[in-house]
Amino acid sequence: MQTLRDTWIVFGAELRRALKSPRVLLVLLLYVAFSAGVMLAAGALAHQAQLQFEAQGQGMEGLQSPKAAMLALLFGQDRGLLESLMALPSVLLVVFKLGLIFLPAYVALLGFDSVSAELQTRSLRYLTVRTSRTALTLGKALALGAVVVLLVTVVHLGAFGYALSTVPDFSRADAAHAWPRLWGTSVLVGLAMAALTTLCSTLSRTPALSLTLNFAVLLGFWAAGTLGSGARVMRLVQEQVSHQTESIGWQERVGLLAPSTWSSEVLYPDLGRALTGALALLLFACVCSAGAVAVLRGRDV
Amino acid sequence: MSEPVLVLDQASKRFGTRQALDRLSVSVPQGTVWGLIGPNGAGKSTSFSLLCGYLRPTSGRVRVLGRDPRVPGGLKGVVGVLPQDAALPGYLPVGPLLTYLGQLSGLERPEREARVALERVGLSDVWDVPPAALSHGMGRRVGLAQALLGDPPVVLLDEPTSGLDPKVAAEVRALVARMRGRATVLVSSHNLPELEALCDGAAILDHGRLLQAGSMAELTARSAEFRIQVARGDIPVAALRALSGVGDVTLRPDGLLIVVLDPKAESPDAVLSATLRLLLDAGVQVTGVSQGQSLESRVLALT
Repeated sequence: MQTLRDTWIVFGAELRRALKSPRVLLVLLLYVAFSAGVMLAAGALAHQAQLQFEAQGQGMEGLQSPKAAMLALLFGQDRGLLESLMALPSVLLVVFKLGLIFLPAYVALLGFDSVSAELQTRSLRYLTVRTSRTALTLGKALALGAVVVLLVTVVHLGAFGYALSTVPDFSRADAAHAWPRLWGTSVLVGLAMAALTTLCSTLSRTPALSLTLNFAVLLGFWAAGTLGSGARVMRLVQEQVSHQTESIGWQERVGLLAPSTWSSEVLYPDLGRALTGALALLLFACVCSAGAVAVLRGRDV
Repeated sequence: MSEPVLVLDQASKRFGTRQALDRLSVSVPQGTVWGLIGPNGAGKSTSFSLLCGYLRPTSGRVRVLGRDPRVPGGLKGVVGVLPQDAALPGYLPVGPLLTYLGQLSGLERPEREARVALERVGLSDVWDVPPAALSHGMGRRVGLAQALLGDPPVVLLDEPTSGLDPKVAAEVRALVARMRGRATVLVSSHNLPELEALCDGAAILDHGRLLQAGSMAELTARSAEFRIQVARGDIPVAALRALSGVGDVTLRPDGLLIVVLDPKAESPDAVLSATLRLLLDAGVQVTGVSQGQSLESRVLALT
């Protein structure tokens, strides 16, 4: 009970600190500017492609369309997933997917020094005699998570607003239907990354080391995810050729360690798969948070 | 003697190959002001860090009010600490920062306590000032204010007067002296006259080991000898040696007369009075008298 109360106090103080921080504003601007740039570029490209294919007498719908090819590039080859995404505006999906790719980097930039800077200046010493290190870690991780949710929400509101105003077929009902899938996926990934960033911050005595470690870990997860998805595509192709079920190789299993693998699962229209993906991301966040708590409790400050 | 509040029992701490503390055993009784003395690298700050739970001992036992400082939240509300080299958290102005720290200490009225603590160190006017904008001395005083938040029963002060001007340093010493009996205070300082005047007892460390610990009277041999600075006159050494309660008499070339008391002497004060009377009757001019060694001399002799 005491830990919960102290976690809430730390969360409140850290959130106020973050919301007043120029860095949060800067990252928000970066995120918004990037998303706006992607929206404009994707919107222009989609419009141009539509004109070109209409001139050739072809439609933009169906899995043979250029839109499907673009979605396959971004989201993989799964037919069920592609069919469910085809109904959504391209601009929205491109912003969502590219935002998701860069979200871990934004989160790292926001929170890499949440603990490490206080370890470096030893200001954490004023806090550790007053409350448990568990409350300190969880309060800081939750505050970072809250800021990330805020950023994600702002960017998604912008992207959905842009899609509603520029894509005639995309109604408010469609937006309401799509919002939980896209926003929810980004939020889950953001929370998982907030926990990972906090873990990296507790492991490092200086902010520079924390940022380096954070990006090294992200690079590792990116490599694992790429390896896993590549191996999966190869397996599916082999299954199509041989008409036999192929066993899952170690490369694909390594890919399961990457949060990006599970963020794709959350998008599936099949509720079971989506829930599995969501639970995997939450488990990742919990493991990283528990790791951060264990590291800070065990280390000298 | 009352139950020890601070206990280091055979505590050792190793950083890589460096042995910072080597089986240190010190205990500080309740309600006293104790000093931690030693040259740089003696292990004072490491001892503080073990007592505050910042560091985990490599071996041995550490207890504060009978609690293990490493147990999560074990020191909450019972220990106030002024760390030596820790920057104040810079993300809140002084007043809100102290209020936040008071909340974490579990104080019922943290803002009120924060204002009281700032008033005690004479800094009521820095409520809205960011810690980074404070001078070194003001920062130390704010650090002291946060250590005194809510009047904790145990206060650990690492170099509390370091960097303070003489007037403020004297105020801080007076503040610490007023805590005697109400709180158990451990002070680390290089200012030995300050510690001698302030502390009931002390532990002298060097190279991570305990050289000597005890009450200030024991450390300075206050009841074992006294020193008389003589300006002029023939000193009746034989007559002094014959006085009751005097064990030995030594006259140094610089005119310092060291009178060592007989351990069986019942009243050191009576022996001092008799010695002075004898000297004055013999026409000797006395310019100074001190009981025992100064703490500084004792520390210099030991380290």
